[in-house]
Amino acid sequence: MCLTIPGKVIEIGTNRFVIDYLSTKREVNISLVDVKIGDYVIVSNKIIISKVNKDQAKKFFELIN
Amino acid sequence: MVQDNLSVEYFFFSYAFPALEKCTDRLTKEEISKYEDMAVGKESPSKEELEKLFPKSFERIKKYAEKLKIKNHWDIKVIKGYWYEEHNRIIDSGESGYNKTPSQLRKPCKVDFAMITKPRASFAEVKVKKNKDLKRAINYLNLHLFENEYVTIHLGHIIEKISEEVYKKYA
Repeated sequence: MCLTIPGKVIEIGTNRFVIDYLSTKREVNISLVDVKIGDYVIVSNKIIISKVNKDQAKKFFELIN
Repeated sequence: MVQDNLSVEYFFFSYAFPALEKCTDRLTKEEISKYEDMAVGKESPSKEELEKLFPKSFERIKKYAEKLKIKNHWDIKVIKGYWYEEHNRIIDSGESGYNKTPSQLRKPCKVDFAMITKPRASFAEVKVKKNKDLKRAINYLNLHLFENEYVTIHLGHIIEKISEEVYKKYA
């Protein structure tokens, strides 16, 4: 299944984004969308490809917990 | 369109490689990086390796081949049809657990058919026909992109150039 998992942006630097991804910190260097700290995003291949609204992200976490 | 010199394995792999990180419980960072380099270099793992890397996809591809009455599931008609039609149909129908996945999480999984509006060095701005969305997609595979060309997109990655005919048929 092609499953996308949302992560939360917790830090933004120059060409550097730190994502809380299922309680693991992951660093990515490229974002195709404008993001700010606290946004939920989808990461593919170390690239932020889209934003997800908070409700949809929470719905997902409820499903997997 | 599929370039004549690219294999059916590569055609499958070019669409599947952005999902490699979903296999991180089975693959090391080094292995993922190796596969990504292969994708950029227009190389592909073998059929056997691909079937091990993406077992769920191949379960569905084999069923799809049966539906098309084609014996060899590695036939380009099967693999192409899977990425152009069947993959999106499965997501839209809610099969394979997609009915439980929130819509915004399903959307990037679908293959989009889009027109290049602004090509850039590492990414391009594209317009997706279906919902007239303007968005950015990464040009990870280093395709030579020009304005008004048609492409497919999977998981935010531009995968291949397609003809206007293909675009109009599937978009």
